[in-house]
Amino acid sequence: METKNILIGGVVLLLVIGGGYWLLKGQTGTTQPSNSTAITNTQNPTSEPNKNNLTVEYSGQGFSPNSITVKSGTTVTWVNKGSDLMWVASTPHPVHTDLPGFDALKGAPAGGTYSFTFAKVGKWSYHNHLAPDKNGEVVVEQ
Amino acid sequence: MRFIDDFLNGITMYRLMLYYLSLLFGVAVILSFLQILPYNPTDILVSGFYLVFLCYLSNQVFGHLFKIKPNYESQLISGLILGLIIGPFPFLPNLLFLTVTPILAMASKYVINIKKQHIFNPAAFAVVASAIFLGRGASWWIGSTAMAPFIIFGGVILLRKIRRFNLSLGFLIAYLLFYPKTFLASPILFFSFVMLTEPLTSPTDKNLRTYYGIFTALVLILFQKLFSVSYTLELSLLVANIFGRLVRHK
Repeated sequence: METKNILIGGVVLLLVIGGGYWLLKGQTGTTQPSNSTAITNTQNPTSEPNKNNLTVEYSGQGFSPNSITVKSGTTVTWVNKGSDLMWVASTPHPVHTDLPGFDALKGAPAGGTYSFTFAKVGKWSYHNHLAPDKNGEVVVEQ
Repeated sequence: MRFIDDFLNGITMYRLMLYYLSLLFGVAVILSFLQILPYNPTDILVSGFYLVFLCYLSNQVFGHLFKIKPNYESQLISGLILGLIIGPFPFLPNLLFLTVTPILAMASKYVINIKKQHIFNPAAFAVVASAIFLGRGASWWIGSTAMAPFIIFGGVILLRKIRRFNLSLGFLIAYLLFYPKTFLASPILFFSFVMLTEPLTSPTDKNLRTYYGIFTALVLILFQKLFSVSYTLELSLLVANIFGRLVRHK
């Protein structure tokens, strides 16, 4: 059994080292540092959208528009038009680690909003944490 | 410590798990009532009791059909786990999801097993199956900073009872090396204390349990990098369950 343990331990160790290398390799040379995580959560209606402030609606059936492309520094506001809570958060579910800070940390009730300013260039998927099959994406360009 | 050990020696691990999950359930309802957690306490209560009831009912039916005496605590534990990771949402609009998932959990124990020992964690299997076939997944809502002290308190006592510190720590250390900021505000703690350590689906050998924890973390990290699905956490456990079965003592 001891030899079997050593063999399995060796395989797991190799996988960890190989996987870690692969993951870290994939993270290099990505994007400019994020310095903006303006988060609000309010039931007040959203203001008129402009070029630096886009709105995405959540109906309970999903997000609309499902995919948006914005410039770096744009604030996106999600409005809950449905009846269930809307908890916008970065993928992957349920740990929300792809874009740190992009997490409402609580559900917005019907009529509530959540805003996030995207400083980091990239393609950021998100979902409703309380209904994780409802998702969307924000493509942030320079 | 003597007092704790005397208490732990006086109850079964299933009963302790039942107390632990019941504590978490009760605390979550109270914190939601106090608006510390952002949920409707009625949703938690109604969905939770329904899930526990259906787990109990379907386990009795499957036990009768397969001529196996069901473990009383086990069915309640599965129901409570589901209640802590599904929703919380209004009962009626989500009735199909709330009905199918506990039945799938109990069915998996009887249908997918080797020598009457189930292979997959029932709750994990059920939420993965529901995500695939119903398009409805688990939110893992119990993972939150407000719940973390209670999850850790009960989790440490549970791990002392079932002697699986190395399994849980192996997973946590390997995963948190990559994602250290997920420690408190995510369901990683609940997952590592409650679901990963299930005695029937994890290795019996102490050293293998450490590898099992590390293996699960690695699979989870890879899945989160490779797949855009919302059920990587529970899927990684199912893969680990297969690994656990392959290396399990005969």
